[in-house]
Amino acid sequence: MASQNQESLFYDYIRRLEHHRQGREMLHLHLSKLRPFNRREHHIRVAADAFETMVKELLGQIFVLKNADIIFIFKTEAMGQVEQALENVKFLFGDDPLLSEEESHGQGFTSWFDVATDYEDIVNMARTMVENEKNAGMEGGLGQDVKAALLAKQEEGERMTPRTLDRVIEALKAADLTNMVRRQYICEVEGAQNVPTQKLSELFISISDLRETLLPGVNLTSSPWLFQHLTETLDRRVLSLLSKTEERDITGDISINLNVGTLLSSEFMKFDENVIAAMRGNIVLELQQLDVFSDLNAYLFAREYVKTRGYRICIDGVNYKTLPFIERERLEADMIKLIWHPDIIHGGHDVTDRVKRQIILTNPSRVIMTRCDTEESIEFGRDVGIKLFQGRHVEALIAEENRRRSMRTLKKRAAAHDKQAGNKKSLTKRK
Amino acid sequence: MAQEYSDALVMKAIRAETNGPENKMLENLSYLEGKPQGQCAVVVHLSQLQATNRKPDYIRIAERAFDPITLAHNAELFILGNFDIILTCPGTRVGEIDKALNTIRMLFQADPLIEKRDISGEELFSSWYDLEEDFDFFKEAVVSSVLEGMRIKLSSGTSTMDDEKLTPKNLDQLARAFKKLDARPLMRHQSAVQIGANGQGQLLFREYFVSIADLRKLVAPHIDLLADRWLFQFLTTILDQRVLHMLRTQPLDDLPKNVSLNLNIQTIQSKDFQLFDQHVGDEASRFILEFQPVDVFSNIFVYEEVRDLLQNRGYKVLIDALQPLVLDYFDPSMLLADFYKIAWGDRLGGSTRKDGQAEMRELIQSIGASKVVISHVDSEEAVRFGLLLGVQRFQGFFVDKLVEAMTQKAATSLKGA
Repeated sequence: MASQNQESLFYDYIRRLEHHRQGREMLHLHLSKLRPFNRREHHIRVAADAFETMVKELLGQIFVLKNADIIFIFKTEAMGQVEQALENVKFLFGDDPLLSEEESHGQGFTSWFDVATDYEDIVNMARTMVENEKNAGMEGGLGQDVKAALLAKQEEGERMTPRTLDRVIEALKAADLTNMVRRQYICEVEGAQNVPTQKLSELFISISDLRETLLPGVNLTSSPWLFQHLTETLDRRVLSLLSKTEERDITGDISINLNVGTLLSSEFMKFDENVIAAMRGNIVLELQQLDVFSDLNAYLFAREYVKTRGYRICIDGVNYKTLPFIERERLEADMIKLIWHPDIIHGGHDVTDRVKRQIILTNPSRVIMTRCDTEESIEFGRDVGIKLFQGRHVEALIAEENRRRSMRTLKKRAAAHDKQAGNKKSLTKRK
Repeated sequence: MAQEYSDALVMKAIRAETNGPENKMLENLSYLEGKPQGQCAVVVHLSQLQATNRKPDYIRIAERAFDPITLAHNAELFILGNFDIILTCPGTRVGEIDKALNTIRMLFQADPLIEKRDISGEELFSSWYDLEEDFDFFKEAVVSSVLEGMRIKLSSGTSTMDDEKLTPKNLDQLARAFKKLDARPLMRHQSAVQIGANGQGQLLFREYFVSIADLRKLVAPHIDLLADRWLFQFLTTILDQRVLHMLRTQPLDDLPKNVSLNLNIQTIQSKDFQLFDQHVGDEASRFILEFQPVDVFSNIFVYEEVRDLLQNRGYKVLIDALQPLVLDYFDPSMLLADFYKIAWGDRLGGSTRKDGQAEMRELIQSIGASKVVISHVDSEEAVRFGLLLGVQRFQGFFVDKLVEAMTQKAATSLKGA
């Protein structure tokens, strides 16, 4: 996924200002035109610091671009403070020829924009920056940035190798996975207050818990192929866990993640024999889109098999770029899970429109929008007719709803108590 | 096929394996010969499925369709070594058996066998027998099927059964051994040609690849490298490094004008490719990079990034190993690659019906006929068929023969001049 660099953050920000253009100005400091010695890292940092207080006071937003230029967008009321900050910065670079040029021509180092009147120009400028940055990334892309790679390694953990995979699988044999099973709810979200109703719960083994317990410091997902192998191993464990689970432990509709290969295995056959026929209809099997693409023939076979047994199928892991490749109806999947990505609304109008079109073609009531971490994801989904949502923001909505509900109960109880005590004063008045 | 075993020898092997399904089937046959009254039988010719569907897992699942019948009606069921299923059943349970057959037809609906008919219009998927009337025909069918079943067991039993599977543990050792592997002696190449309107062939590119069979002989004679597709896929990432290493230690002039390479997308972002790219310099347009669909879809964001990067540098991008079946489900040209390689197979060759042909032609036109390469071309018929569909680019055993003829002709005409 594209990392958010300052150029694209700037682009995002300015696009969001579309309806809030009034009363904002933009200052562009062309630090890139300074002599190389004058635009070392610390120069740029100090220059950016000059605007820091205003950022903290929410008067403006700063972007330090790759080429060292600084963009500061601020509310007009802060003009005085901005001018003061600019003086400090100019002082910092006083001995650079660029500044004397600015002195005589009134431009060179700084450019001023009125967001309201110059909006289109600013958006174009930001878009060009994003594109240039992307192309630069490509030119430089073949030359790998070793430092960045090391940093990523440090953050993401050690790469998975066949040896670590072997260790994980060995450790799995003895590990008790019962306490690593997580449940996340898939909810219908309705009304102005985004009230969630639980429709389905996904049971899964938390990969991060697994990593912490079995092999801290190893990034289990660094090789897609080794990770796939690991998931097939996990599948068998999940099936045996579920076979042992008492029926009453599983309530309502549940979904589980399995590989197509697992559905064709004898482990699944055993699981299937243990599940009460009536319960199969309550189970949704989530298959990764990768499985569909890696062996379509196997998917078609497995689908037919499990559907005649009574299970439902959901194609998981679909993102907005692979969505056009998944023809849900032809694939005869009951549902698909679409992974939310901010680019769906911030990646340009044509992207947004295309995604909307494809969701409509898929049939919005068959789409689960997943990894909804923000409110905007749910807003977008509801807008195109999606009913089901999953993700951190949905969890937050559930928590909120529970709070609301217990507040209501509390109030009711308090009211009843008051009534009983013959006290006519309301709760609020008593405060 | 293993024709080295005579029928008599195979029959002996069947009898020796007393509890094997082939022997049990024959025993059942001689029992029924005496008492054919009220018995019917069905042979499900799963041996005629495409190789991708002839897998024990699939057959076991298909077999379950008969569970209600075998449990309730004292029917006998045999799964032979060639995956044919034979059911014999007392009483005329046509409706129930047909229901089971339908379930199996649905399971294999993507397989061309389901649609196939013989001259008289009978389906090739199954044959019915009324044992009172047709016993001799049934007997003939059973005997040929059990012989074939045992023949397959005999020939595979000696080669693949004892192999160790690829596991993370032996993969770890292999991966280490590969680090110093010299890929040179393992490299093979196969040509792709473009056939012009005049029927003349012209070399399009040469695909360089590592022979897995030879690799196996060299480093892991006892390990079935293809036993686990994900671990195998990982193995290819290490092979990529060795291939790139080999290529950058030889002058570009030693290579054919246009070369295609099979690489993992992750490899493009590695130091190895970076060094290769420097070696290639401004001759990137001579190289075509082939990616697997599974790799593309494992992270389409990375694919797009890598594709743009490569195309900007002048490389060509090819999506390899598209099953013809895929075209019924999505349009590969949305991947914006330079070429798409579709494997010759039943979906292409089988669409001999006029409407199927027209449909396939339209699909290929919409991808862009000039971007399509048909691979695994093994006969002249395949080329002729491809040309009918508007395709001009081909690769495969048959093309190898063509290229050989082309080079010989060029050599003789050179001599003549």
